Amino acid sequence: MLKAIGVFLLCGAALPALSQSSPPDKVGAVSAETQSAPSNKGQSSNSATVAPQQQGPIKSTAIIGLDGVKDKSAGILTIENGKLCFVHSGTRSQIPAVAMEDVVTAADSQRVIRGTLGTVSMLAPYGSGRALSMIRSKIDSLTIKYCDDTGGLHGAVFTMPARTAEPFKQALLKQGAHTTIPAPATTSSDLSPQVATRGKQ
Amino acid sequence: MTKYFRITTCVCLFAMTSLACARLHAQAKARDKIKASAIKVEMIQSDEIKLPAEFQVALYENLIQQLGKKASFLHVYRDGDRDATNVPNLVVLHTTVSGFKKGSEEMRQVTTVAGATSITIHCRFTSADGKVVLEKDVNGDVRFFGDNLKATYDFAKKASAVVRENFSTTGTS
Repeated sequence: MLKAIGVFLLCGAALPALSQSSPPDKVGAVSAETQSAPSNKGQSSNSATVAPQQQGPIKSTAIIGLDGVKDKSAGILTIENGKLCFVHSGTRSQIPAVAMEDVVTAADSQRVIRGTLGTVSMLAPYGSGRALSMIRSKIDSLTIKYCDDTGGLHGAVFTMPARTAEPFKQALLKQGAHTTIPAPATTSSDLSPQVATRGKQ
Repeated sequence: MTKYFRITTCVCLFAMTSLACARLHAQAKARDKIKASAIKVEMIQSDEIKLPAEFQVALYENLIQQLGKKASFLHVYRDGDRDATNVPNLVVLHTTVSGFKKGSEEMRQVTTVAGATSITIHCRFTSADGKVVLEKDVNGDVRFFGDNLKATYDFAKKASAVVRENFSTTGTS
């Protein structure tokens, strides 16, 4: 009986998680398409100027620090007219890029099955719930420090799909943001093959 | 009848003494508190210990959120806020990371006992002219459930409790 419950819980937990894991890839693909459009225009002049003026939408989670947005709210992150925009259930929060004192990215991971379902799955018998914790997805975090109108320092932390934070940071830097950590060397080597393949297309 | 009267008198006296003691103790406690009307939170410093940027920002933001909730008698100003320059009885909170151990969320979820994240922060409360009024080490950790950044929330709750216990608008300056 317990085995049957365990198998039921595992199946119930794994199926929605697998279906949830696909949308970020789709959003990432959309953002990649929007990024590639301006770069194709700029290919003939200079392949180094790949970063667009407007970063495509990325599905993101505002972990903490964004004014008017509840912690751990999911939304869409974009860069429009020199501002970082976070749209969440109709509300729109904006941070001007020039007000950003520091933009830092980092890599992390999170449980694929999380939330209430993740907590319930922890109760599955024979340690199967714990085994599910080992199924993890890679994510990037984007940390921003910025000043408000009165000079008060704010901070905001976002998480987004893996390999999307660094291009986002570069786009913000181009819009006037500052950083204390320069771009890692691997980023340029990662980008150059993409540019080459775009050129071939 | 006389015995009954004596017992009643003794009970009344005992009750009055207990109430008076409690009131005097509360008054003494209030007098021990430091007078403050506003608090300015400086950004978390981590010169000696390398602290990831997301932890630094989460510590700072959680601290401001929790101070707003638990020490609502104080007006909370952010680091660099120009409005805080001429505020009377302003207390400035300087925080320096003195210990940090980044655990693993995966390890915690799989083993329960391993992978704890802990942060120890030295909190120094000064007056506007730089005089130290209170110093205390506060730690935050996450041992069982939650992501690593939950340690910053734990720290913020404890730090705001320290502020609530030691500062008041009617205390001694």
